[in-house]
Amino acid sequence: MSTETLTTRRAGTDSVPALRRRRPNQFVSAIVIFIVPFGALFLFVYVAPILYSIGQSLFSIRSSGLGFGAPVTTFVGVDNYTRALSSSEFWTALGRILLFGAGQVPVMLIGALVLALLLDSAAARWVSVYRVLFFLPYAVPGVIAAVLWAYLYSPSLSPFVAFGNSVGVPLDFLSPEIVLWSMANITTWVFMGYNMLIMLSALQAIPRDQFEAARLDGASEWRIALSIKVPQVRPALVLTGINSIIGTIQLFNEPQVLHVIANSVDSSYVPTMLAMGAAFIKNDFGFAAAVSVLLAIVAGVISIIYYRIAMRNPE
Amino acid sequence: MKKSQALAGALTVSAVLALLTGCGAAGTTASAGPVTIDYMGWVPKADKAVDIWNKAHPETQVKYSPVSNGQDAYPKIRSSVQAGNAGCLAQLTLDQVPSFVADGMLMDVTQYTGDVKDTFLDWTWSQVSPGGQTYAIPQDTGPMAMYYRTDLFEKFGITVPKTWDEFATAAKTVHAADPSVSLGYLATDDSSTVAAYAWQRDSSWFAIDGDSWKVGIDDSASAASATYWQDLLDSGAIATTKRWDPGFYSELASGKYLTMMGGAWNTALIEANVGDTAGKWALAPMPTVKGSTASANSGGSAVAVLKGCKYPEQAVAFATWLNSSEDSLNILSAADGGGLYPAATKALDYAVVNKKDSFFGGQNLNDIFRESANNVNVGWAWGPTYSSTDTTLTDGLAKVATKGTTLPALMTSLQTSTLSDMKGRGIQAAASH
Amino acid sequence: MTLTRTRPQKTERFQNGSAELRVSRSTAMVTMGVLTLAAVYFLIPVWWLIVSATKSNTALFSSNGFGFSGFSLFDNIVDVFTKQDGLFGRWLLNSVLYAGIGGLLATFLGVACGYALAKYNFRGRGVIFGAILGGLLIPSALLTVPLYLMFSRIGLVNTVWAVLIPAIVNPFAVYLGRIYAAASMPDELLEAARLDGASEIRIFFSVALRLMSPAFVTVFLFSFVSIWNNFFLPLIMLSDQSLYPVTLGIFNWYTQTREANYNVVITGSLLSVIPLVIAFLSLQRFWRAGLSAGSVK
Repeated sequence: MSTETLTTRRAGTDSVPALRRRRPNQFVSAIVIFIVPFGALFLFVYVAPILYSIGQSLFSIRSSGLGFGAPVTTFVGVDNYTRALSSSEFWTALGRILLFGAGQVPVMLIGALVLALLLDSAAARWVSVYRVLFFLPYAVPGVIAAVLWAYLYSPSLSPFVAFGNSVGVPLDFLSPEIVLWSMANITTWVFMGYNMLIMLSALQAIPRDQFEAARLDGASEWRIALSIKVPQVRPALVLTGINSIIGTIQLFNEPQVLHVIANSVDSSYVPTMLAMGAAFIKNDFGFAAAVSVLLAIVAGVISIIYYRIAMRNPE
Repeated sequence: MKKSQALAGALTVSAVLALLTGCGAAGTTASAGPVTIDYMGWVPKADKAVDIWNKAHPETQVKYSPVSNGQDAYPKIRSSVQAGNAGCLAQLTLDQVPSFVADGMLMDVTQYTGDVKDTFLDWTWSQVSPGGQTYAIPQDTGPMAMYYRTDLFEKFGITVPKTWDEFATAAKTVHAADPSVSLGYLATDDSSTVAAYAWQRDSSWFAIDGDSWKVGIDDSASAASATYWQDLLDSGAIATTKRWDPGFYSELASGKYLTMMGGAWNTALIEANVGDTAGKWALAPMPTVKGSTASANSGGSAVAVLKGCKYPEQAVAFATWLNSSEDSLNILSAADGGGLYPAATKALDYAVVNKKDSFFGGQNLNDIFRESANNVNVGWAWGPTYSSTDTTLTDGLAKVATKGTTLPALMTSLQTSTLSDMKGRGIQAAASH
Repeated sequence: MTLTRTRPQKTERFQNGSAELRVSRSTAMVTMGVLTLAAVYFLIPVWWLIVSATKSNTALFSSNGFGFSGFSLFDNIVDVFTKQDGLFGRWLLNSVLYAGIGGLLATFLGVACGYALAKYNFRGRGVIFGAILGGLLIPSALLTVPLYLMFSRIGLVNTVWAVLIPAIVNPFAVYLGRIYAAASMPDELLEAARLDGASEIRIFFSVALRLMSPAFVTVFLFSFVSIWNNFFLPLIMLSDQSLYPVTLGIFNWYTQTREANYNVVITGSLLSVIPLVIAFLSLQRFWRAGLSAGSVK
């Protein structure tokens, strides 16, 4: 994973002096050949469904009488949006994932960075073994990982709870105060090693002689890590950070699976569950579409803010 | 630049589209000859029954796809109907049939059913015929009874409770003797049981009155049931659990609960998941309200005809065969085939339903279930927005478990939210009391 | 396989000077302590999965999750592969095909697009890149239903294409492709190739792709995993079970709660993870080789 390349030539991305000398239309056919295959499919599987969703969010289904006649689709304007924005469920669910993101993302990224620094330090042995072990959970598909942890959380199946009880410490991973962080643990378990690997790749791309000079000056390993290594893996932090933010907004597997075993996880625990429930249980596709559109806007705003902060970093 | 770019773009797009539609055409070509019916369900061995049908009916071939149980299957069913390419048949729990009708997902097949009606229990037929038109063929029911641990009853010196009052007294006795076990539980993820307790007391959550619905989720019978269970919870004699958490079986295996109230389809699940306790179980009628013999039903399902089905006549014929013939039920009602308790009346005499069960000490469970099925209050109906009522009920039950609300309060709020749901959809509805 | 890879790293360190000697005992102990703790954290659920795969359905609910109880692993494996007439093997194969072919196409399309966005200066490229990045922000599960309705109109649902077409459009691949192209393909080289009379297409295939090979492997891995893990798209798109990928198949078993098959779900999960682990271990060789090549500059 050569994210280290981010550090080396980022400045080159936006200015291509060599090309300025030529008139751009010389490359039109090449540009078309490279961009259009992806672009056409992108329009087809991303843009069209988004437009469809936006359209759908303006309609609602109406019945009459006993409700057994054919339901009629009616244009309701921004009614679905007002309903979403004025429902406490939407705001609770949104607040929850923001809290989740504020807690889980930094913990996971810092944990990944620490592990990457340790593996990169001169003190580490069996680096390749650890690297594989840490990365292993990423090979477990999200749903299966959630199911697996559900067994470890379930009050009557969990060996942890059994152990806790035997030493007189009652553990409850599913209580209303804890369950969000139990989910955060699942996400962290799956993705920490993956993020660690991205950061480790970035670290290992730093020329070793930089450390050697510092070592000759008597700097400790800790100091080298903090003042030489960390600043150089910032681009890797940007990449993993944006990925994690998007993942948080789309959080679905973990709450959906824990919903089965935890009373504290209701059917609208996170916005994606709210939308799915509206669509598939209440047949309220308009509302589901409105929630999706709002969610995309939130994701966009947060990512732009994060990006801005990241861009402010000195090169 | 613009021109050539646009041209190339157009060429690529049309090439892609040609590719797509080309493949699509190959995939959807309807072959002449035998009719094919798609059928989605979650009965474990339904494919074996389908095989039998297909061998005997070369002109009507059924293609079975197993889907997830209950709610997990709805995304699949709803999106396929919405897209207009639903197969033909899908299994639905009985409580969902009116909602799917109201959402325009099912097809009125009254004209194809003829005298099929007489094959099935009356109340199941009315549940698949909301508003008088038929949309589905009943498959199984869940007449309730009480599974109990004979060894533990002996250990705690209690007798089989006949009424709910006796049940409450026994529950307190057990809890006093050993606080780590309890006589029963309230399953917060099993709304069907909670509805059944109200059903047993002759509550009427939904009823049709002319052109309008009468909603009584918090009527006096329902409130009485809610109060009974809330008191029992408050006394600490019973606890809440999650019935579909796999951990539930661990609780059963460890003897944490002395009884399990449930529909007949639970038999197969108990046997397969807590095999170590074989021989320690027995079945008794579910406790009744003093002075009444009424039982109740939890769960049960129907095979519904989806809107867009091209061969409704054949679909009805197959579904009827599937749900009532001995050939089919020998598979579906066997313990390893799903242990369905048939909705077809004559099927209650089939040998497969009347086996002496060694897991239950050689008892013929059907003696109890048949009586229960005959004692189900027949007037119960489900409303046209019950799919959302059910979700709200389940969320509310979870809140009861975490002490965020009480059962009586939940029934009141459920009444309000259901009425506003119905009115919001343009459906005529009013409180029944 | 993994052990051989330690060697270049070690020698690299020794060449850079005998830094190893300077690490104090306490630093080394703290480092190894933390790494071992982390390894335990990552391995505990895996241990549970392995242990549980050896249990029968009944033993699963009557024994401690971290301890063995009976040994039904082989029975379970037989159950997994014979359930539903042996569909499981088919599902594994499907997953390999979807993730393999889909991942390859996704990488190819994404890297080509990213390359063009990085290396050609044309009007609107900012807008195009922005729009593609915007695609990353949409919860993909929510696009699935509209997509399903569109696909069913052109008869694509319940075909391999319904899974493959959405899978090969990966905005993240474009994002990475653009960054890697900007970083690893010097403009001077591009110019030199042009002066030699090479066509743009040829430059891409014979120069750029070779220089970007580590990036290509990386993007492929990302795409492979995301396709392998996605189960909601196939859940909605496919009704024919013989087309299912393995994740969906297992999810389907898991949610069929009317059937006592917890042991089958758990064993199936374990078995389905194994190919992915193998893919990682074997591909890791490539991407690590690519890495050192990429970091020479």
